[in-house]
Amino acid sequence: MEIAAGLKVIGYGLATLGPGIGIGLACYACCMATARQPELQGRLFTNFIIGAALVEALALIGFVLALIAS
Amino acid sequence: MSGIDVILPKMVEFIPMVIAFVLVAIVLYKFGWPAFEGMLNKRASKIQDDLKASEKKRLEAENLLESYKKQLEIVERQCDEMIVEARDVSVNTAAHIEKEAKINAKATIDKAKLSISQDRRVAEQQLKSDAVKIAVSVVEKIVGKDMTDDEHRKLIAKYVKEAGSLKG
Amino acid sequence: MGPLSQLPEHLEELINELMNPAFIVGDSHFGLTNFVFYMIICAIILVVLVICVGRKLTLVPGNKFVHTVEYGYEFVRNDIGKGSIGKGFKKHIPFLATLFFFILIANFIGLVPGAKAATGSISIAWALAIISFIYFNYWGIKTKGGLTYLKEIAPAGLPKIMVPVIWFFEFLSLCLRALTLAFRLFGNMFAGHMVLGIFAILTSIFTTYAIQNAEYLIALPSFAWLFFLFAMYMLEVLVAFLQAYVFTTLSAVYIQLATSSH
Repeated sequence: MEIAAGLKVIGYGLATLGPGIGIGLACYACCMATARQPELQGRLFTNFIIGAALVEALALIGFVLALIAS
Repeated sequence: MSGIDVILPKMVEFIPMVIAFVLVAIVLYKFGWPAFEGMLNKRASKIQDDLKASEKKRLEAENLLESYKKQLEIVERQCDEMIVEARDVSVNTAAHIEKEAKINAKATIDKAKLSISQDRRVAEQQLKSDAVKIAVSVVEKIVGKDMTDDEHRKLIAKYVKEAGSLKG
Repeated sequence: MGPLSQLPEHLEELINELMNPAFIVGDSHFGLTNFVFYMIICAIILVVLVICVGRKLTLVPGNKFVHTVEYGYEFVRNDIGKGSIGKGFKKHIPFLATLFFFILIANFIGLVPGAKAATGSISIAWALAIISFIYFNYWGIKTKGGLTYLKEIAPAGLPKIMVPVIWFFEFLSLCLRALTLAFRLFGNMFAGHMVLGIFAILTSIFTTYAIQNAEYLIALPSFAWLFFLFAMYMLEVLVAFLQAYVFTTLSAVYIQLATSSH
């Protein structure tokens, strides 16, 4: 049914709001901290990647469920 | 298109991928990556050795420069001393020569003065005796008589006294 | 509108082609799909490239291509390895370098028109993710010991009551790492190729409709689609690099989280 397919897409679209804002905040914090103390850039970038990976997990679960929901 | 088997891996692609990746990883671990790692390490150690050697050479060059500077200072000081010495010696010699010249001149002048005074005295004596002779001969001729020695003498003394006082 | 009505059937065809692999040899249980074919090409190119370049390395870099490959290796070793792992990073570098170069070459081969990206298939992406998952768990257990590793999944310094709950969710998050690694790679490659395919389909539909029905004005949007296709190609090159870098960096971070002793 087309409504079901449309609902899947709407569901995934709603699921990308949170992680989008979350990863944007993490990147902002990393940029600000690197601007204050550039010598810590390696450690700060690692922290940003860990945080982004944890947040992105939710968006990817949304993507998976949009594919498999029947 | 839906259903859970969309996201489950299919074994027909999964197993060849795993086998291929493990084989590639083992082959590269043995033959591929050690060359890269060795080259990076070799480059880093060569740069470090080169840096150390150049640092040592720089220190050596600086020490050499220091010793050369010290030698130059000593030589300069010696030159200055020699110049000062030479100037002193020259000044001293000039003064010495001047003094000697003065002494010589003074001695010559004294000698000259002495000889002049001696000559003068001799000339005075000569003049006195000549004047007396002339006076006596004149007197003889005037008086027309011979005088005895005593009268000669008295006459001489009188006129010498007059001549001497006029002379003064 | 005329041309757009032909779009859905082409779309079906496109999605089918990207998600369900076509078999070159054999059938559904024991065959060679086109994705596996391109993946074997990638593996051969990778081995030949690394071994040949390894022979030609010189102390002072001369050849530009050789030096670029060596720069790639140094990038994985210093920025990803030493930056993310810290101490004891030397023994993980061969695995990380193989992973990075494999994904990079596979993505690049997918950009050639007509060839398929090996990582655009869900099973192959799963295979890479599960290999990485097993690798970092193995090293974690080897460094710390089995029971300590399981106990340290929950972070330290929690009140005793909450430890089981937190441990369960942390364990779930650990198992989810494999899933997210796989889907990040697959999603980026699949979506990228789908967008390229859609712009190509739109261009061809508009042009054939205009030629068939002699309404030449309809051919004008084709230029817009062509321009978007070109822009998306540039983006796909960037995404190829980025996905290889993110996959390798995340693997390095997971290794560091598993083997470090806080």
